Amino acid sequence: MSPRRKTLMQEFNKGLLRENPVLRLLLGTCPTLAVTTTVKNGIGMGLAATFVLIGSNLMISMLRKVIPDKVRIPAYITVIAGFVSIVQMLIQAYLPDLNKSLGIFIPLITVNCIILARAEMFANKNPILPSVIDGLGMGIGFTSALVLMGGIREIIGNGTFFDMPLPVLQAGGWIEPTIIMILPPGGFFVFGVLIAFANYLSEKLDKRDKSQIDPLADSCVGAINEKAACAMCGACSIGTRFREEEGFKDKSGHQPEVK
Amino acid sequence: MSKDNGYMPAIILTIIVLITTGLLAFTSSITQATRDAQAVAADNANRTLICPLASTFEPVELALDSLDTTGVSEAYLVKDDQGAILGYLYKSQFRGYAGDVPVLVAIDSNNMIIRALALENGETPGLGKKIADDSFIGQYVDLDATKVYTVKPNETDKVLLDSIAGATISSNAVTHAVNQASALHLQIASEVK
Amino acid sequence: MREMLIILFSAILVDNFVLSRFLGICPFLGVSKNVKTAMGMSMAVIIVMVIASALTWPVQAYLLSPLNLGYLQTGVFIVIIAALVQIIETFLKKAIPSLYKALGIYLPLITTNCAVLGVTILNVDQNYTFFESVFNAAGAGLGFMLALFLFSGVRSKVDRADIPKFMKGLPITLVSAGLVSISFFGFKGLIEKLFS
Repeated sequence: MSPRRKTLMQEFNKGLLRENPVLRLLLGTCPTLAVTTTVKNGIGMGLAATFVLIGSNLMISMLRKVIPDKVRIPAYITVIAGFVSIVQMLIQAYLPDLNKSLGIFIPLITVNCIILARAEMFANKNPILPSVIDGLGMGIGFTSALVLMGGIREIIGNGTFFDMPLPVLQAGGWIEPTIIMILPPGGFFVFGVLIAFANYLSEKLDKRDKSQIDPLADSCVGAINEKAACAMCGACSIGTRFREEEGFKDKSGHQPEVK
Repeated sequence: MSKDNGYMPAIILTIIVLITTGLLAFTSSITQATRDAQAVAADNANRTLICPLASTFEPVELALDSLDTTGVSEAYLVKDDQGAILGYLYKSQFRGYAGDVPVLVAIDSNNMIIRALALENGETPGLGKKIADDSFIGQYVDLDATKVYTVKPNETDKVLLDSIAGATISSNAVTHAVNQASALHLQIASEVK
Repeated sequence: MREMLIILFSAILVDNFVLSRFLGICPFLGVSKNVKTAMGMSMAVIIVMVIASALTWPVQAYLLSPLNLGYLQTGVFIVIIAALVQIIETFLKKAIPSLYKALGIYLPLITTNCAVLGVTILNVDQNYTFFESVFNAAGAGLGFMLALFLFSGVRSKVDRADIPKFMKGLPITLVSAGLVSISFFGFKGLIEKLFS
């Protein structure tokens, strides 16, 4: 292991803010925008994805010495799709209301970049316990970002919190609910402002403890934080690696990642 | 033989796929009963909301050539626990502001609309979604199913209902769906007689 | 035919995959920096979406549904999409190198594009027939292209605007995406007027 060996606590902590999958790494944007019209949906989506993250990290870490490098990605996708289908069936059976409101975004957890990215960047290189902790931390980071967004959108857009009406924000109160916030544009607005805030906060934290700055070994993650445009992190790294294996050289100098 | 050579990658991948499939089949089999029950409960929840006294909903065959079933996807004969006919229940939909608006319509044997209920739809929250409010959908209680209704004041040949301010298209979708259900009901009722 | 057109136009304008359903946000933000890459990515997405829908429909209708194997849907669909992307890539490389050069770099990214898996699952959820599925996929792909095309124009302006430092980059991009999304509200109700 490298000298800057992290303790388990750090593995867990990093997912919360510094490497928050949604607000810092910008992974899994689709469900973040789509299901966060209420806090309840945010929690449901977050926990479902956390379950899949922990499960797939556990399995992939366990199998990391067995899975051949060549069929790595298909194997990960199979494991992830398996866990997603299990979660889907459990939600259908025991939480029908949640199933209705999350709808198509439950099966789409399969292609959520967070999960594949953690498998590819962490679980296949680390032992079981850190991988599980990493999954847990990332999952909680994802969930908290979703709850934050859901909370803001539900309170401003619908005048409720956790389905409880907030009298001052209801029609006839001080402020009428601003419906646009629970419509698609509101998702974009809230997400944009939250990322700006997370960037600001993260910059402050970095200034406070300079010693702990992680040089962000993964170029893709670095690129995201710098250019803040490539949300396809998992896909980026996978894409480029596919090409390297095939000895692909694009003469025009294109890269799958935007700058 | 190393795990990276020859057929080994394919074999290992196949094993992983098979194990995953097995686990899924297992989870599926233990949750199947609950999932089916939930699906039935979800279907019945809306139906009993509209006909609280009903105990059975017998599907009515809609595939007959003699019936004009435009817009109506499901029809049921509603009976109470004594087996007496309470009326008919129709699921009808018409295009609204954002996709189809499905509506459940219950009509009794005297051609009176018992109630209508707007089901899940993509209408705009705060505007079109108000079709679910009692002030709008409640207008249909005890209306005559032999008449045709509208929310557009210029259609003077039809009976005018109040529309939701700013959501005429959504209001129109519900009205149209109810009209479709009534039209089919009159055909079915006349055949029964 | 009228039904098909309604499905097509609904998918492009009313239920736009990117701006209203929130599917395929990652490439939407990632490759919308200039019009050329936006078009390349969209073309690749349209092709994969249509073929994937045409392939997954019979699998669902003749294999998964009759055998009651619904629980394998997610896994089977993603494998079909991944294999399809690989095949298209190999085929283009051999047969039409010029097209491969234009689209090749976007193809591997499509496997994890949730819009593609999304459209195949939606086709099943909506009980579409084979042709309805294909039209829905084409509409979804064209809608993706339209959103990307419009947004790449907006972005080239936004990138040069003088804004607060912490809003630079993705935050302002998302806020302007919200504004583009509002503009698509104008299309709602359009279908009802067009086809009634």
